[in-house]
Amino acid sequence: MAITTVDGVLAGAQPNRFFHKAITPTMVIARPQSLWGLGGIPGAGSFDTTLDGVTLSSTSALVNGQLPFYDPASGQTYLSRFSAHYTAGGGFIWLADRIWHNGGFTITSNAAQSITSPAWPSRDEDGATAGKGVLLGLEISAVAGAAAPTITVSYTNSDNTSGRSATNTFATANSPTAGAFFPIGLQAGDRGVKSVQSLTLSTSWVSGTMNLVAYRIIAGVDLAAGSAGQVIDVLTGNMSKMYAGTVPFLILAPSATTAGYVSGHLGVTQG
Amino acid sequence: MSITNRQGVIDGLMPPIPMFRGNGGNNGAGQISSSWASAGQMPAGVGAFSASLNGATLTGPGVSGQIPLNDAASGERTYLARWAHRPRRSDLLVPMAGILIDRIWHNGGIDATSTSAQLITSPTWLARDEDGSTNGKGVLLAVEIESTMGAATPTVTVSYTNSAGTSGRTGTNIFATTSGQVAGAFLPISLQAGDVGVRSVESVTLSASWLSGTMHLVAWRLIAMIQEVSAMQLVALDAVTSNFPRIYDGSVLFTLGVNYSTSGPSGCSGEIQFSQG
Repeated sequence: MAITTVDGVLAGAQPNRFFHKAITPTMVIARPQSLWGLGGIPGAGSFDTTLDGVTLSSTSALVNGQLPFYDPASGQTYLSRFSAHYTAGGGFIWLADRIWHNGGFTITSNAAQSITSPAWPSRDEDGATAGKGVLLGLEISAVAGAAAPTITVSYTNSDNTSGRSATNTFATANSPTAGAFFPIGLQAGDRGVKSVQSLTLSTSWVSGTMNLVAYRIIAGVDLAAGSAGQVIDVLTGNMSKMYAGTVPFLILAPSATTAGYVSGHLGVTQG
Repeated sequence: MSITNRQGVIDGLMPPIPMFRGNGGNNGAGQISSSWASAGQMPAGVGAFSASLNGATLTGPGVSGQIPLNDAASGERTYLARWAHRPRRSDLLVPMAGILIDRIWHNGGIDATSTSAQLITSPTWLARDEDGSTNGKGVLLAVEIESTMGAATPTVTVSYTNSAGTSGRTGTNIFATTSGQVAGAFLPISLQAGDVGVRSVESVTLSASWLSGTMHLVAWRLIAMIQEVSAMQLVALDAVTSNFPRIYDGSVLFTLGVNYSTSGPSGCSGEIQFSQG
């Protein structure tokens, strides 16, 4: 089944759910900041500590840190309402599905650290495990040291070609705080990531804790004016599909470096 | 029965209700202010507070301060069909957000000078969580200020039982408290990791004396939220764009406002309309 009419949207509407987070670390303008590890509503997420990592799913039980999401009794789930504001300025807020994350890196090593990621759950943009539309990001979970290494990840693309590699698209900097999120690019021609084989730092990051995350963007809102909120709904948000097991979380690309609050809400319809 | 199509929305439309109300004091950029106890022409009446630690659940219609709403006829349901909201501010310059919520429970009698745990035995919630049950899924907590607090900035810690029935959970104020926090401030309490709502409240503890003033705890649930994209602009939701939230019988609806600057008290005007069927 699928929702193909406005009446279907109304019939399948689920409760709107509130989120509210205080962003305490100093940020860098335009550099994405994950809200996964922050307390608030919802509470803080946790991180894996193994190089091979774990896939994440909300089907059996919600994952700590995720925005509430429940599988439909039947049919599909679609985004029908997403609003957010950031009180310290403008920027951009993404709503993303957190598919996999790992940990256990030796942050002082500049050798390739091998990873055998498990098969993704069927939540790429086609609802498959191939990884189309699945991206990678490096998330800092404890402030890193005074260095600015290049991050190189070796991966298999969504067409199942191995040996692909890419680096961080936003330059690293000394001592990024917890929550700093460095998206990893794609090699030319690639549309997503099926699995991860290794991560290499060009130089030691001295100290701290970092994690690699596989995620898929569901939607985003552009906070165009300072402190103004923004909304998408079922008519303006492209009715993005949210597959069973989705683990929604937020990533903010701020226009200011100061601490502030992110608030908003999420609504879905199912049928 | 329930409404599952546009014709049903139209068939069940109730008369629009005008709204014109203040939002209490402004504690700074980003802070949330409650309209509960603010004077305003519509809806009539000023919300009252409980004076006991155990507090009281709230059931409409007829609660002073609530947006007027009668229960649906037997076998029918109520939904939000339209909400038009325009912030009004003394400086007329800065946008804000509006939040429509159901006030499920509130308490009082909290000793603002005590740093001991003040025990609370909240009554069973009404069947108005997001599933229409008493479990508390989607039910959140907040501190609401009735009269100006003293010159201190305590952390407020609440012990609660989550919607899955697990006791001993704790949360704290997400917005930092401010010295001399003014009446109307509404400070949401965080959820412990993994929780999706609150079933009951067991205690409240201040990390330091707040010296003076009157504070309350409120249990509430989000119905809808509007983001204002420019100053003084009226923004409207309808049945489709609001995600058609269901409103359970007995709901006690009122609005919150998010302040984006420190200047001037804020409020809102607009109208709200429900559909029943």
